[in-house]
Amino acid sequence: MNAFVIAFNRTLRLGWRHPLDSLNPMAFFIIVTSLISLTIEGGPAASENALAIAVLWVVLLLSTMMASGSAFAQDFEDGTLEQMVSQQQSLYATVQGSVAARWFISSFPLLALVPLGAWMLNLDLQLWGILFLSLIAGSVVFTFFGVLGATLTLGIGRNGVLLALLVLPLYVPVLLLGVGACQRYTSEESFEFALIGIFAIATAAITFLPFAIAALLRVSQEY
Amino acid sequence: MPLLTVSALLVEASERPLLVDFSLDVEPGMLIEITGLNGAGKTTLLRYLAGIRRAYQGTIDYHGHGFAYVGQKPGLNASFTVMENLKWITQNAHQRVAEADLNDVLADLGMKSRRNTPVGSLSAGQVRRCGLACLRVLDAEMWLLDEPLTSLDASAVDWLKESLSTHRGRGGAAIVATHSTLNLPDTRFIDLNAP
Amino acid sequence: MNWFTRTFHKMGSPPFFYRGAEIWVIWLYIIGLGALMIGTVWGLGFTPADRLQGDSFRIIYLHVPAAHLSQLIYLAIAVAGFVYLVWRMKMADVFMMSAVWLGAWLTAFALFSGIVWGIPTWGTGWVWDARTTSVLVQLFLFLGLIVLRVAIPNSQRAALAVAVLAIVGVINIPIIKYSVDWFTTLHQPASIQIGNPIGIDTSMLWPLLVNTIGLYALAAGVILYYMRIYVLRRERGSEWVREVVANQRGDSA
Repeated sequence: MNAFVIAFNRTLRLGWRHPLDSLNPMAFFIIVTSLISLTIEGGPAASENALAIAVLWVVLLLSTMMASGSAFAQDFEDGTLEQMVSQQQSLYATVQGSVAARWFISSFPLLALVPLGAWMLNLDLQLWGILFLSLIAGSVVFTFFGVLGATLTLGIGRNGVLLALLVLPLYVPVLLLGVGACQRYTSEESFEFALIGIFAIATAAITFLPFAIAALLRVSQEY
Repeated sequence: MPLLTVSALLVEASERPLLVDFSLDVEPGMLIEITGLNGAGKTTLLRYLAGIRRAYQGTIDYHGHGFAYVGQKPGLNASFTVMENLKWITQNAHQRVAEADLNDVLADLGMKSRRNTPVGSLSAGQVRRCGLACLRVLDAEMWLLDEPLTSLDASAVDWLKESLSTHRGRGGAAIVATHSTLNLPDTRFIDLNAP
Repeated sequence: MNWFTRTFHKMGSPPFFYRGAEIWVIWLYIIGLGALMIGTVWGLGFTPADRLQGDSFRIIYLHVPAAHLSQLIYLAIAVAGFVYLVWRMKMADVFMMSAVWLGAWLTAFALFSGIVWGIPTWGTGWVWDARTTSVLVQLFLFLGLIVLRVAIPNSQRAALAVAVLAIVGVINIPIIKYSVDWFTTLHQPASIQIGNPIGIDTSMLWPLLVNTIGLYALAAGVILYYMRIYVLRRERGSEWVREVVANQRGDSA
């Protein structure tokens, strides 16, 4: 078995043992979306597609950040990380496998909630496809940067606000491109470029961010 | 042929040099106890030897196949069972160990009945025993132990001493950082506070 | 060893840096303050008012150099981060510590002066265009670097984590700029194109150049000044710092 599969299995099993880690962000997603639909006067109109798209993107972003904020925290506390750093020449595949499993555990259920959110915000049915497609790439990037933020703040108690400050600026490009793709699709302009753009960023994140995360995991043991 | 050669290693903690030009050859069968006051660098030295910290000056070379490191943290996940944790330890070291062998080690440690218990429900001493079990599970010639006696009862201490003797008899070696000596024969002491 | 590696190693040696940098700090302060004074007086008093914007354009004499310099400082911090990660050169970390505050202030000033300039020219202080947004994100990145260093108690771990964040952030800045550019120019065309219709006259350009040189020199001086302080703090307890302190005491007594 290679390092990717080992890390993937392990993270998946841990996620299974701690269902609240994925259920909490899901609850957050639904609550925030319904609060927003509630507070729009007279309920969201069907014409307000731009608003619905922006809301769903931002709420998914925040839920994903919440879900990935605890990555490697337990491993750091109980010494598992020490063993990983000690025995493995390269943590690249381990990180990749672990983040992939994390995406599967947390982003997958959140994506499943997107239709519900789209319905609550009264989004036009023909926009659901492009929204969903762009959010798939977006959630990959959000998960990777979220884990990066989590490894930056390993061992620092109460790191929620700090995590947001470190990670949110990094989320800007994919958020803009993603929302842009959906809105240009709405106004029947060419959206392919932006869609390719977010998938390109997602590919870059999958390829390069494990280097940074692996470096940070090693750094976390430098004391 | 030594199992481990350390030459001209610089050991630092927060960029403060603790040991300068530290050199050491570990031959098969050796038991080395590292002693020193708090803050002398016992744990830090072991973390360098285990590759947890990167050596920027000097070299650390293993000539056998691998090492096993038991630090002060157990390295076991609380929500996994004892068996799952042992399996992960072998996977992490890229080794294949049959489940029967894992069972044997657990039986030897008196932990066989708890093999399917989550580590989070074990007592501190039992967790410590599981952590030490990785020594016997892994096929490693060098053992690196950081304060192995912490929270062990008399029978577990005996088990550890016996394991160490067998290990040395087979041509293995061990480096132990400790405040209270294991009292085993042919021990070499390195006092980090010695000038 | 050739000349380059020798200088590189010398620069990495804290005592050499501490002694060598003192004279540089003084000269950079003199040049920086002098040039800023000349450029500002020249720009405010001796250049004609802009045909379109009147006198309000004069804020570019501080706004533009500050914005450019803040970007350059971010880039330099990322390079220093890389040097520190790979070679663990202590001076690279000292540079990161010293430059990050100045970078944050300059970014904040660039944003603030942009708002002040925008109100009379654009009719609004804030436009979500590529430049403004990327400068705002850069401010958040600077704040992140500052807060991260404070939050991690172990100084070495903090330095390494800051280095990684700086590198990830610097790759992100052009992407942000590009994506905002695409998002705004194609989706909701900007009502005012900055800099574009206004061809700059040479009489306006000279003071800008002098001010830019001045601000760069002053910033280099400030960074070196703080680097000398931080290097003492970082190396406290070492032999050469004791000597320095002893000499200072001897001088003042």
